[in-house]
Amino acid sequence: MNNFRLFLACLSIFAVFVSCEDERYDLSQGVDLTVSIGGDSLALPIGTTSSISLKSLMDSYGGNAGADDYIKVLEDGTYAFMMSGQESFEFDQISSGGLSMDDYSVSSSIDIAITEGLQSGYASEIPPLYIDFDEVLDFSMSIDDVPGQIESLDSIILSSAYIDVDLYLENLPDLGADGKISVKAGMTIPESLILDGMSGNYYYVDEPLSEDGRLNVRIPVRGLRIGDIENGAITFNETVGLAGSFILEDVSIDHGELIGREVTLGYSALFGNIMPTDVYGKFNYSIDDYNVSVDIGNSLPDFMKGDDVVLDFSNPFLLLSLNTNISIPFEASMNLTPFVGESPNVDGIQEISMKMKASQSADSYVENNYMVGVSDKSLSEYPGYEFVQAELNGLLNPVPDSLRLSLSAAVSEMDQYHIVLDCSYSADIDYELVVPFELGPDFKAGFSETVDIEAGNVADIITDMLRSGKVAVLKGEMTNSIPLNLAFNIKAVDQYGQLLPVSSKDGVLPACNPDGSPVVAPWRLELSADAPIDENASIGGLIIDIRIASGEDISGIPVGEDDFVKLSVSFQLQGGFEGNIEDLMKTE
Amino acid sequence: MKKIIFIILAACVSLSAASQTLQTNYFVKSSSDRNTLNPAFAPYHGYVSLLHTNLSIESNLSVDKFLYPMADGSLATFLHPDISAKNALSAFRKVNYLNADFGMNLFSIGSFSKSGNAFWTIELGLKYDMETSVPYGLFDFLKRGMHDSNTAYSISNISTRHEAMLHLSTAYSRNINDNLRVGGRLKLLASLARADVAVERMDIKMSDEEWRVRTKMSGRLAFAPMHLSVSGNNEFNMDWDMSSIAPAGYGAAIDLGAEYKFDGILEGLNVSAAVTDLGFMYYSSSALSGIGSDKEIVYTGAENIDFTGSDIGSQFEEIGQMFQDMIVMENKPVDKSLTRMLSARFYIGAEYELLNDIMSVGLLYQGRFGVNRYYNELTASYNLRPCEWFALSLSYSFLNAYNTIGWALHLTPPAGLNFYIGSDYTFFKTAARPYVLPLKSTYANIEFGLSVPIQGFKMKKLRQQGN
Repeated sequence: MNNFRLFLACLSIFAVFVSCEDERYDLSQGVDLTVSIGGDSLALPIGTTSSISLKSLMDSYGGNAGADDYIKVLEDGTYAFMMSGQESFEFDQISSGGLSMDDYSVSSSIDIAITEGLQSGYASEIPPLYIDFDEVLDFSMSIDDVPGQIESLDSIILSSAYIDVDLYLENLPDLGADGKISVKAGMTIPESLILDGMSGNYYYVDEPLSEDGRLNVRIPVRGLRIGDIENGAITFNETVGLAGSFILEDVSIDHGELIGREVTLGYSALFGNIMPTDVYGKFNYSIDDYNVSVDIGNSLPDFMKGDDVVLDFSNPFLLLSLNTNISIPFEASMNLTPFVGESPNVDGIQEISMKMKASQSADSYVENNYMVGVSDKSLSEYPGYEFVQAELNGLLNPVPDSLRLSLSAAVSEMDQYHIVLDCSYSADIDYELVVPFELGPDFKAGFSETVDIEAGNVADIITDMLRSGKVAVLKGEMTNSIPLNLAFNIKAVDQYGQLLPVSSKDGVLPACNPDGSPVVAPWRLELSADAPIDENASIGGLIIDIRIASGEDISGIPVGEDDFVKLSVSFQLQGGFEGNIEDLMKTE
Repeated sequence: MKKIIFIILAACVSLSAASQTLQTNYFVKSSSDRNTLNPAFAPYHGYVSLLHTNLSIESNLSVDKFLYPMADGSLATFLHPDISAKNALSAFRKVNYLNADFGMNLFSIGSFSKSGNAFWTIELGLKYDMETSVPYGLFDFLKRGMHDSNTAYSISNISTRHEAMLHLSTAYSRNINDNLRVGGRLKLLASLARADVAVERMDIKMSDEEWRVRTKMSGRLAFAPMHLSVSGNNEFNMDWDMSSIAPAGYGAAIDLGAEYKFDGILEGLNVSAAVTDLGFMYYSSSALSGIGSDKEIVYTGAENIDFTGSDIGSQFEEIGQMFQDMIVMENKPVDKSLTRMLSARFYIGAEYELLNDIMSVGLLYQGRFGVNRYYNELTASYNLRPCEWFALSLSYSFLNAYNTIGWALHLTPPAGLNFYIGSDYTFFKTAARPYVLPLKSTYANIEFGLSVPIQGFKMKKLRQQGN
């Protein structure tokens, strides 16, 4: 009995050993299979980019059609914005017709008595008889319509003008069979005539008369000396003097019968073939204002446009090449005016003056080459160019819509020059605006690029992580040889292209070293949600805004096509990645 | 006095060790099963076993180390981001193991000799066991991952072993004298299949720029009808040859045991000792196939990635594919046969009978060499046998990962059916229904058996004559 009671007592111990359910571990409600993957600092190495050369970036982001035509690469590999143009001018001809004159003739006659001359010293000879004359012919000519380009004339060159002087005797008595007549006379030609082959204007003849009793002398005239031009006309009031003697020799007739007898002297002068070819003088030639408007707005690549863009280039220059055959040097004046819309940016106007050399002849052209710029450091690349200093770096800052190039030229009216009449004078102007990408400290530009993210697990996972408040981090190390500081931030759009409330803190890629060598530095970009993200939204793309800027320590370093940036990239979620065990176990 | 001793023995510390046989049965004299713990033991009568099954799981990993109640009433895994690493990792040990056993007798008979002295058994059984070992470092890596910009892990000795085998055994025990009884068992073993996978070492270095993993691992399969290989693209190929259906390996083992009953002043004190599974398994090379990996893989991402106008999503897809291509397994042909020693166990017990052996108290020490660790356990038990056909044993095990309470109930009438059921590890805290899972410990086993007694009345009479 005691043993049985003891048995029951031991059995009662079992009452203590009763399993107790812990309601906290209610497995019927399932288990949250969310897990943290890889720890709170997991960074997924994405990889490294290739060395992204500036050339490839420019090819991708150069932007609008046509901009490629203006972004060139100089011989040293530096990028440059280059615009060029060409224009030709014709100078107004100075017509010879305006300076031509009709042939001009004047004649007269006079009765002159034969006189006995002085014993000539020929004791055994019969002294000659003389007909002395001293007459004047009046010339009065005019050029009535002097071309307007002529300010004043020194001389007119004639091609084959002449003065014909004609002397003849009438009513001449019989002089006997052996009688002969010669003339010794001097002709005083007008000073305004430039005689060819003669230094003065006195022409002497000593010749026998022709059988018909005439003497004809043709004196070539090379040119005309010109005096004042009054009211567009040039007047010549000149005289031709004829003085001399007819000498009657070997006259077998009694001199007494001849002496005193009057003979009619006829004389005339003809100024003919007055055809000018060249002129010497002062001229008022000018080139009408030449204006060309260069469309900057459509010529710049997209990343150089925008309200935030500051195009600060340290070494822009303008190459001018003017070829002309005009034999007059003239002064050229060029105005560069940036326009914003229709309004000129007065503060950016540049005025440049240049002297253009004259050609040696109308058949040859002379080159006038100028480099107009801030500094002459690129001059050595353009042999034969002359440097003209001008502060062109303000032309593109602020960014104009267009740039007007105005050119005018005029000859000096103070000096005398030679012009060939009826000649086509012309000038060709080649201009090239070269803006090497040697950036000033204030240079700023920017562009955007959209990167698509294909719908799928990756996009959904990243969206879920951002929706849960996590911060996505892209980071790594970058090598940058571009002399530009790059700052970038990212916005996200959903699968329909609508902006998501997701943005980033600025990531920064510092520029290369001041000596142009590549810089190696860490970089980091954080992306997070600014506001709740719609449950149905998923990241469909990223908009990357990139701003590039120069700086004091890197200004002036050329930006070349071989400059590059290279990135190593890893992806991290602050707080770690999360996933669901069931999803992770699924295989495709 | 014996009552006092019995009450005192209420507090015990549990220990755990995977045991194929209920160790709570060790001091249950009517148990037909305890013979497998010490071949010197004999039950009250012979038997023909109709059903004998045991299932055990032991691990120092428990449900509450993997699942955590959240503030909102839900459950989350230890990998949940809201569970701190400190809390989660404090639950794990330097070596974390999970072992499981399943055994069933296909045929078993035990019988006494005519004199009732000797007892012999014949058994044919099927057993499956598994051992898995996971170091703390792996959980640390899973939970903390990359926790700063340069993180390194060195994880070694991850292993798992699975084996199914048939065993045919015969045991014999007898009294040497009034005090000493000895016994032994001879087991013939046939391995149906065995698989071992071991990661000897895994070195992981993670930084922003690269992930570097060096893994040295090996896997071996012993399964005669199928040869396992791996092709270049990490595809596993199973080549079946049904003509070579045969055990993957053969082995033998012996069990030895002894029991000494004191008399005189120490009468009632019984001490016993046994060693079991002293043996080996042999696997021929033709049944073995091996794969392995001893490579360092470095992932630095893709070269020449393009973010300008490209599809970032496809970039990540490529990265995912790259990870899949990182793991490279290669064949490790096994040209030598393999012989391995079995995990021997030894038992040392002491029992003191009380109240004319109506009850007793006992202390049992068990030791076992596992794949990666040594297991030992100390079990204190209280055994109640108010009559020959009823026995109840309560035990408390300690010295291992958990202290647990065990129990066993034996109904062994001399005729009819004999039934027993018991568990060495009783869990009190479970997850809420419908899943009855132990919460605080993962030591559990259950064993039950059904048999038909033979020689019941004969042995009862002989025992009565002996007393």
